[in-house]
Amino acid sequence: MSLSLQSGGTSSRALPHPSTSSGLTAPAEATTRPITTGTSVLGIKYNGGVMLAADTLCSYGSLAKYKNARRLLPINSRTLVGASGEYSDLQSISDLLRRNALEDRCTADSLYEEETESEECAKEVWSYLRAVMYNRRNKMNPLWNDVVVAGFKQDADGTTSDEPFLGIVDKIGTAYEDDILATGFGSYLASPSFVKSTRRIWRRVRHVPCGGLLEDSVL
Amino acid sequence: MASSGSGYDLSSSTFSPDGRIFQVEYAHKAVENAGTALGLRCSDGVVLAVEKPLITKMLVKETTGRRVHTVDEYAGVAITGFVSDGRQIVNRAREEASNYDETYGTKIPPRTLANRLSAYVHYFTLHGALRPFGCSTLIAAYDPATKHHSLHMVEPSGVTYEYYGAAAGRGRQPARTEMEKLAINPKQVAASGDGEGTLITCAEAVKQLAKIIYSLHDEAKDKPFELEMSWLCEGSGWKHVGVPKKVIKEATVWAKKEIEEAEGEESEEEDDEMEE
Repeated sequence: MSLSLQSGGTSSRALPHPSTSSGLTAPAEATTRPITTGTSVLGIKYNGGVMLAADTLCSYGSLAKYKNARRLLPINSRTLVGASGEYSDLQSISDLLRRNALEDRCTADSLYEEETESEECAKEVWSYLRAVMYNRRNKMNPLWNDVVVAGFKQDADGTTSDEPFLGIVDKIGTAYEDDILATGFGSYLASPSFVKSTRRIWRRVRHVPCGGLLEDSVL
Repeated sequence: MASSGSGYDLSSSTFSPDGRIFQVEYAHKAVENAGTALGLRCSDGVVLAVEKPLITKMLVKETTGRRVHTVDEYAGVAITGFVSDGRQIVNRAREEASNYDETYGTKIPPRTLANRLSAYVHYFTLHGALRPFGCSTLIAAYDPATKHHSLHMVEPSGVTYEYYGAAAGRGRQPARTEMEKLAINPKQVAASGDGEGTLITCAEAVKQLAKIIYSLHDEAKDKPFELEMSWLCEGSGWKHVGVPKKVIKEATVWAKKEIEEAEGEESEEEDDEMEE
């Protein structure tokens, strides 16, 4: 029951490695616990769009280590992604999604800026992330995040629709879509009062009051 | 005139007695017979243009047989010659750019991209089992770190240079002559102008390139063609995008008018001469 970093901390959940390891290459480890973490991300749909809110703190256990960390990241012109949990995994997810977005741009049917049908819409990014997270879970090596995906859907002809999208994918690959979402503690503290006040009328809530609501919740 | 290969041209891993590798020269020939590709470096960006011959009337011209490709956010390439060979190079360029960003966290500098592609193309010129690429690649790229934009061209031999203006394909010789007349070389512009010469802008370059391509095109002999143009410039946020169709159309109209006027003047001069 070694507690060394090499064996992954508490070794009971680490992947088994061959006992005759040469000692030169470290055995592949699975993520067993998050180290540098971000807390809640809140998301809410409103009339004309969707808004995300998150604080900029990344904690190292009980230490407030990184005070200006961005946890909300744009992927393309239609999609925004925010995550709580392990910050390095968020960076990895962000790199992956941006790489995909660049590939989409390069291999698009058209060279012309006006035609942006090649971009993945928010719902597609959400579905893709679900597959990624579930896949990692099945290998017993999850990306330790709850990811919120926000943006716009796309119409049948591929152009950006007016209909906003808000979805969440958690570390075990559960994907869920709703008008109001929150990860972590936000889902216990902020969501309920949100939901109570705005669920039925979100389509009538406009941009500015929505921002105010979210700010109050984050604080 | 190329001397006869006579046995030294069977493999790209064989030198001829006079120090040539014939396979690479033959690869160049493949490019020389293909549609013209032009690139111009301007004061505010880089413009690429390719003459895409429409081999049959049945082609859906907008999306098939593309010659200009985006390889990175701030980089694009134009290919001419064997387009399928070109596709390989485009894919490699995308991999190089993506890889560089993943490793170093920054966009690949234009010169590095050109050198990587040059090394890749060169590799195929020294294996007996492989043949050289039969295409030339023009690379337009912007480096967000240094804020410099540049134009490079990689030839089938693997040689690469940075250019103010580059041409490959059928009409490259006349194209080069025409391009040299444009204000693309800062030293020449500074020297010749009355101290007030300015470098050509992308908007102007689009028109000039259209004019060059149209003037090289022989209605009777060559097949009808589509003009593919792209740029990366301040106006596009330095991203590599297609030149808006409206702009190409205006450039084409202007180009045709200029060519007609030039021909009109020529025939007037001939008439004058004949009268005398």
